[in-house]
Order: sequence, then structure tokens, then C-alpha cells
Amino acid sequence: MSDFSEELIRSKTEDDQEESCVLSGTGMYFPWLQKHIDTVETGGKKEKDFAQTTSACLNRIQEALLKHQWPQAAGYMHSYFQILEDSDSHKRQAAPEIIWKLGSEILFYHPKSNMETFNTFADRMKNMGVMNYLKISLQHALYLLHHGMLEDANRNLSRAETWRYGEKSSSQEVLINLIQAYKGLLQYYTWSKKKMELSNLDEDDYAYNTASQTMLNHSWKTSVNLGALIQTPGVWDPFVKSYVEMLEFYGDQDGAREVLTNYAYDEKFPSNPNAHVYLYNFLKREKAPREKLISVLKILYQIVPSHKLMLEFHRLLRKSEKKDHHKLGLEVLFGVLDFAGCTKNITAWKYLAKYLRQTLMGNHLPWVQEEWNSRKTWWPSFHFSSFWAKSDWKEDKALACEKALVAGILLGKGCRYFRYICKQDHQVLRKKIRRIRKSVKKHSIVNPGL
Amino acid sequence: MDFPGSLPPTLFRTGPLGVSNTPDLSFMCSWRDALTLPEPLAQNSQNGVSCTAAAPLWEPETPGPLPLLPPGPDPWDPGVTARDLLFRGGIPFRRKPRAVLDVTEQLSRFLWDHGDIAFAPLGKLMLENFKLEGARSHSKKKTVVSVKSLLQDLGGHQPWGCPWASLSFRQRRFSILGGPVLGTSVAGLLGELLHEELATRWERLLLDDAFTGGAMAWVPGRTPQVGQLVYPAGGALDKLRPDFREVSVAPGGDPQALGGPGHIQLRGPVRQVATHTVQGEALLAVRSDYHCALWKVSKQGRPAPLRVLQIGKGATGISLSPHLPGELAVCSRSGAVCLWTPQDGLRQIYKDPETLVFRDPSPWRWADFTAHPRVLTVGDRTGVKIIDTQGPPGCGLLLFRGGAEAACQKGERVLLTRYLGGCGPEPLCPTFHLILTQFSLYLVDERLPLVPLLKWNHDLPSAPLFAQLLPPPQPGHAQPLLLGGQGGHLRLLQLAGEGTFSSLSGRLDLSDATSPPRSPDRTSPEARPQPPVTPPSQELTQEPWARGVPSERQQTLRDYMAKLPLRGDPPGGVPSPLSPSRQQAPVPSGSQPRRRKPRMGF
Repeated sequence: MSDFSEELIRSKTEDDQEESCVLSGTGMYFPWLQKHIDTVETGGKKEKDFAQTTSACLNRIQEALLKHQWPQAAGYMHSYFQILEDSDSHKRQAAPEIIWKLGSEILFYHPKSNMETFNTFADRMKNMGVMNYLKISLQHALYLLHHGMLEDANRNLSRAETWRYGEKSSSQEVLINLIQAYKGLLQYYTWSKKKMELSNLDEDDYAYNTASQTMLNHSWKTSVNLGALIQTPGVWDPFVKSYVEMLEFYGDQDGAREVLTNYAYDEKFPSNPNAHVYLYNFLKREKAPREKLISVLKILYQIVPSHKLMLEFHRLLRKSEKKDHHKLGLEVLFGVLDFAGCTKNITAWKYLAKYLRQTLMGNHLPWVQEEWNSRKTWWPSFHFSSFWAKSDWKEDKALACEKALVAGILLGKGCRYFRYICKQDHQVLRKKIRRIRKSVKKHSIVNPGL
Repeated sequence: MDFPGSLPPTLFRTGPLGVSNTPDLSFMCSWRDALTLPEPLAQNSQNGVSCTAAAPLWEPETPGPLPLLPPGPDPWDPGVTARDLLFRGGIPFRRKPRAVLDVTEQLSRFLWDHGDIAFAPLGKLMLENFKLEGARSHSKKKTVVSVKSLLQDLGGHQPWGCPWASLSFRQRRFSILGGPVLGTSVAGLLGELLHEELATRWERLLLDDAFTGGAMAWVPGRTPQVGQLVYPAGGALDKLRPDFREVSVAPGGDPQALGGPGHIQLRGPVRQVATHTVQGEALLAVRSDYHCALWKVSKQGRPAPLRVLQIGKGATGISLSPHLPGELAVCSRSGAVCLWTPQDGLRQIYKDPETLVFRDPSPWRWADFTAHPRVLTVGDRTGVKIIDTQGPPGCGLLLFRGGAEAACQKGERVLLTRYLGGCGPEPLCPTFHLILTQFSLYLVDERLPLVPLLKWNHDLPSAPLFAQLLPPPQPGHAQPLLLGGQGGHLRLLQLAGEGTFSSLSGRLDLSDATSPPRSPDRTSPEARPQPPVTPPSQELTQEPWARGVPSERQQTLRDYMAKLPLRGDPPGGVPSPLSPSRQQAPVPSGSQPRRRKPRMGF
């Protein structure tokens, strides 16, 4: 605490450029610190009129953007360009990026803005300071893509791809990879369109041959474009998906498998559930053995136990011959129903009701007990409270019946949920409820043997 | 709970925060998200524009309470501001304005205003060295000073701070005799304490984590249109809403207060209020500094106490479970997180005095729930971790890392995390978590840890310590997300969900209504008498309080003290040269122009 004010001073003198954020004693930046200091009337340097007006102008633009007042924002933006003449070189250098960010946002939404204006603005901004060329090119291409100008977007990306400034830095490389990948994605669209056309053509047709020839060409180009980016750690779902689709189309199963395996299992990549889903779907298409499919889904189960593929996983495990797979099958179902978003998943409840009976008939009471032990303190109030009994019965009687069966098996006849559903006198469901009662009597784990 | 089939492209980099060579892909603007999902290219062409531009605009309408309010006699009184704590100006600071905690100003005011407290004990100690008026003493000792003549000398003309002012021998003797005693004892003892206090106040002004989470919550009533707004009131914030009454919100109309007022009187200040309605049961949790309490609110709106918890080291956060009635998580400054359940009572589920990602001195901890009722998030300034309360202690995985993964800036710290699921009957995103730092807002899916789905610069002018997802105004509309800054700034965003992907759009900034106007009747530095330019005193600079205080200010303080009247002086007997400036300096808070009350309209 004692060197607090010292820190306060030091940070300001050492890091004078970063005027908006000043360091405190704890290493934390407070973006609002400068504002606090500014409210104290210092006898020191007053901000020059120029700086004052530019920062006021920036505030106005931001306010207008927040309120979606695009014309007002555009008006202020016009005045904000004066920052490009700021005598402070640091501010001057940072200006193009701010102008691009705000300007592109305004032009994107402005009612009177058109493609031409945006293009002119983007081309101007690209050449204002070399550091932003790649970023702006990419974003410009995305804008064009968004407006359906695929060819223009492609041209833009090609131009950016060949652009170099000084030594190739790592950040530049990533951006170039990204640009190439988007180019690849565009080629994929063309390819995909061609594929559609091709599927409508007769194989003996002359046109078919030329079309397939162009497709082949495309594929080769695209693989070059997409390959580099998906080696870089990141989330590249759209790129991986389209790349794999093309590889598969040309029969390069090994290549596709390699891409997907790398995307799913490379430790440098973030744990992306989709990577496992893609691999699983690929293996399924390939008609891979069940064992293999289970091993892929096992990992997905560890990452996202609530994934909708888990029910498919359960079916696979149920069909398997191995005993520990059967046990895992029960665990997976309990796991799905642990999650707040899955409590009304009737398929999961149906599976659980059926599988519980099956497991107990197979004399695997310890499996059920093992799963139930960690849940018996909270499942009753999470799933089987009288509130849920009432609301489930009101909203979805089929769900209520399945849940009642599970509740009866796990908590016994005395459980409130089970009692409430049994009490209901429903003409259509009367038979079903009787069956549930019978099942519960036979299988309930609370009083086994009775 | 479907996981999106294709996620927007994101570059993933590991490393500490503030690494500059990573191309931050969040440079792309708000419309990026609409663009990078390439699958439904055809249908997507106009989607992005319409979804944001059509977002309804929110108009601030009715004045109401703020979720974050500092305690004070008047809730709209800004309290301590930077102006009160920082040193203003000075010659060495002309070129680069800097801030220094202004001990001298505070100390001198204290000495002037409460001289009796500051100097009476010293006066008593030195009594034998003074000859008071009326006391007949024929001592010829040089160490005895006649007070009467001393006052006469002082009562002459002494232009304040003038180095050429003439000093009488008597004054010089008094100065030699009293100087060291007066200087070291008062300034040394008091200065250090004062500096510590000011530093704490200043830190609190920059960021007061006691208010994290905000103290305003809505308890729904019998119908969706009627409910209770719960917030603390009273000078010490120790009353939970003085008129704890029903508020009816009719679409298109002003909120109306119904029913009779009621309140809960507590024994400590309310720092945080949280509510949740689980399975039709409305619960209200309140965090004070060392206590947390839980109430159950009946359909009629009457609260019934359920439990009070005592937290020895101080509580930093409280969260109610959106899944199970009555369950709550409490965090303590010791680094422990406890889960309270009606069945098992209080159970410590996590403890780590160290921070998660890198070392940070803040003892602030935060916990919230996730889509799994037995899995919690535990956060500190450096990151957020997901822990399974049933698993072995200590394990878990990071949901958010203050580092290159989220392209964090240097000095960026987590200020608040919020689980967005469980808000409203049909949660938009049962797996989404909101993470707020000084700069940005991150939306993280707990199924895809470390990679934020969305990063948005919130631009709040004070620490964002409050975030609340509100129910959509109409079914199918975007969900409004209210952010509150420590300084009373509010920002309303809209969380528009399309299937499983959400984006922020349509914003309204209410912050302009709350910024205090500049007070015109403050003393300007020019109106203050200029201190003499003399070399700094070596003795004084070594004092801890004096570190960072410019030498001229120390000199000022020394001057103040040399000229302070002793106790027993006839009031007003010494025409102080300082009086003109003193009349200007303190402005009673009542005379300040009232701030426009912030308005809110939801």
C-alpha cells in the first residue's frame, strides 16, 4: 500500500503513450483511471483543443453507434478524420484502425450506404498504413460475400494473398492463411454448385465430362488453400467440413481421415466438440466398426455429456457385446439427464426407463446403485419434485409417465412424483399407468426382493 | 441444448495476456458473426442487417433505483471522488499531468479544523515550557515562552508562506523548541494512517469489489406483470428496500407501486442481492460483508427467513442455484467456495488461496452455477474454472483464461462472471456464461471452454459489476442484457439468439444520465496561495506518507504546522492568512447542484 502513489506516478511516466489506461499497484489496468485524473484540475498541461475535439467527437460517434443512429454517426465521422493530422504520432498511427472499425460499421448499417461507397472506403483504408492491409482486405471480402458478390470477394482475397510487407511475421502468416482459407471456401461454393449441376446431368453427356474436369481442378486448388490454415490451432469448423467433403468426393478417404483425426486429437487445438462429431460422422459414413465409433464418442462423452449424439452413443453401447459397454450405456443416460437443458428430453427418459428395467433384470443392481449414489441427494428435488409432477403431467403426459417409472424404480413407491402420476385418472393412460405400477413393484431398487 | 453444428472460425493461441503478435480476430465488427457462418449462404444474405437493425429501441422512461449505489446519506451523493483524493497540479507536473494522493491537503484541513484534537495532548506535554497569561512566573529560563507575546507576534502580519516574513526571536525559539515535536508526532502518526486510508479509498474508487453482482433484483409475484423490486436503502444500505412493495409493470405504462410498504432491517450493509424462482419458489439471497442470508418469498410477497451464514474472512459473492430450490454458493476472501444445500447444510467445495492462472493479489472470488446442478464455476481476477462438486477436490478445467486464448489485453482482469442459463422460463442459452472485464464482455459456452464465442468491447466508463439477463419484452424477441458500472452507468444490450448462436445487437446507452456535472464552486488552483519554493526538507521526505508527495507540498504542510495556533487561543484571535481559501474549499454536499436522476425504462 505504501508504494501505491509511487506506482501511480511511475506507470504514467514509463507508459506515457497509453493514456487511456493507467496501471495501478496490482498490475491491473483501469481504463477509467485517466478520466478520474482528468476530473482533477491539474495546473499542468491542458489537453490541446485539437485533442479535446477529437476525443469528444469519438465519444459522440460511439454514442450514436450504440443507439443505432447511423446518419448522426456518419456526420461525426466526417469530422473525426482530423485525427489523421494529429501531431501525436502514436495517435496518428492508431487512427486508421479506429476509423476502419467505426467507418465500416457505419457503412454497413447506414440506410443510404451502398456497395460502391463501401468499396471506395475499404480501398482507401487498405492503403492507409501498411499494418491493416490484410485485415481490411479480409473484412472487405467478407462484406462482399455477405452481399452475394462472390467473384469480387474472390478477387479481393487473391489480391491480398499475394501482398507482402517486409519480413513475413507470424501474425501476417496467420492472416494470409486465413485469407487463403476463405478463398478456398469460395472455391468450395463454386465446386458445390457444380456438383449440384453435375448430379442433374447424365453421365454419358459430353457436358458431364467437362464439368467433372473443372471440378477436379477446383479440388486441387482448394486443398492448397484450406490445408495451411487447418494446421494452425483454432476453431475451423466450416473450413474443415468443406475440405473433408471435397476429399471424400474424390475418394481420398485417408486424407480426409487424417485431417479429421488431426483436428480432433491435436493437443494444440482447443477441445472442440464438433471436431469429434465430424470424425464420428465420417467414420459412420465409412461404415467403420462399432468399436471404433464407440471410442470416438467416448471422448465426446467426456467433453460434452449432454450432446445429442449421446443417445446414439447409448444405442451403440447397448448393442455392444462387452459388459463394460453396457455399464457405460447406463452412465451415459444418467449423464444426459443431469443437465438442466435435457430434463424434458423424452427420448432420454424413455431410454432410461427401458434400460433400467433391462439392467435390473440382468442382475446388475450395483451398476444402478453406483450411478444413483451420487445423484440421490439432488435428483429427487431436481427431477421428481411435486412441482415437476404437476407441471409435467399438465404439459406432457408421456414424459410424466416415463419419469414416473424411473422415479418409482429409483425412489420406490412412496416417491411423490410416482404417487402423483399414479393418482391421476386418465382414460387413455390408465393401462400404461397400471403397467408402470407393476414394473415399479417388480424392479424398484429401494426394496429389492419385495 | 443442441450444440451448433458449425462454430465461427477462431484462431486459438496460448500464452499470457497482452501478447501483441497474435492477430486479434475480434477486429472484425459486429456483423462478422453473420458473415463467417458460411453454410446457409443464400438465406444469410440479408439476415445480419435485419436482425440488428430491427432490434427494438429502448427509451429511458421512469426514474428508478440503480443496481450499484455507494452508501451515503443521500443515495445520489457521489461520495468521495477523485477530486477529493488527488493532488492537483504543481510545477514539476506541468508537462505531464500525474496523480498523487493528496495527503497534505487532507492533513492540513484536519489540523486546521480539529487543531484541538491534534495538538492538545502535545500542548499538555509542553505546558511547563509556556507561560500562560495570568500565570505569574519569574522563571528566567530560556526554555519558557510567554504565550501572550508569542500570540502578539503571530497576530501581526504574516503573509502565509512568505519566506521573507520577519520572525521574532520568540517565534524562532518556539519554532526550534516545538518544531521537531509537532512535526514528527502529528505528521508521522497521522500522515501514515491517513495515507493508508486515502489509498484504500482511492482503490475503492477505482474498483470496489464489495459491490460485485449488484444489489437489485426482481422477485416475481402472482402474475408476470406484478412483482417486487428488491434493493437496499438507508444511509448505511442496511435496509432491504424501505418500501418492499409490489410493483406492477404494464406494457406501455409506467410502473406502479401497489400495496403497502415493508422492509427488512439488517445489521450490516447490503452488498449484493440475488433472486431466483426455482420450481415456483421465489428465493432471495443477500450478501453483507461478513454474513449471507436467504429468504423464501411467498406468493403474497412476504419474505420468510431460511438461513443466515457467517463468513469469517468476509464474503465476496453469493449465487442462487437456478436448478434446485434453496441451494446457494458463497465465496470467501480466504479463497474458499462453499455450497449450501437444505439437505446437507454448508459444505466447502473448493479452496485455493492462490489465483487460477497467474499470481494476482486480489482475494476476490466468485462462484456461479452451470447447466449441471452439481458443477460450479469458480472465478477470480485471472480466470474462471469449472469444478465438479462431486469429483475429487482440486480438479476441474478452465472455462476462461486471462491470456492469449481470449486475446486479453495487458492488465485485463475478470470483474464478474454470470451464468446466463436459468433466466426466465425458457432459457435462451442454458450453457452460456458471461464474463466481464474492464474492457470487454465475453460470451463463453461451457461446452467449448477457453474459446469465447463472442467478445465485445463494452466501453463502460466505470467497472462493470452488474449484469442481468432480463426476460424478453415479447416472446421471440431478443433478450435484454443490462450491464451496470460501479459509477452508476447503465447499458442495455440485446442478446439475440438464432437457434444456438447468439449475438449482441441493438444497444442503448443510459450512461449519460448519471455522470456528475462539474461543480463550479470548487477552488481552482490559481485561487490558492502559492507555496514558497524552497528545497525539500530531508526529514520530511523520509516519512512514509510523504513518499510521492512533491516537495513543495511537504513544505506547505510544514508551514501549516508551524503556524497552527495552540489550544487555548482566543477563537478568531489570530487572523489567519489562510482563511480566504478555506472558505472556498469545502463545499457542503447539500449545496452542490443535484445530479439528474438516472432514468430507466424496463
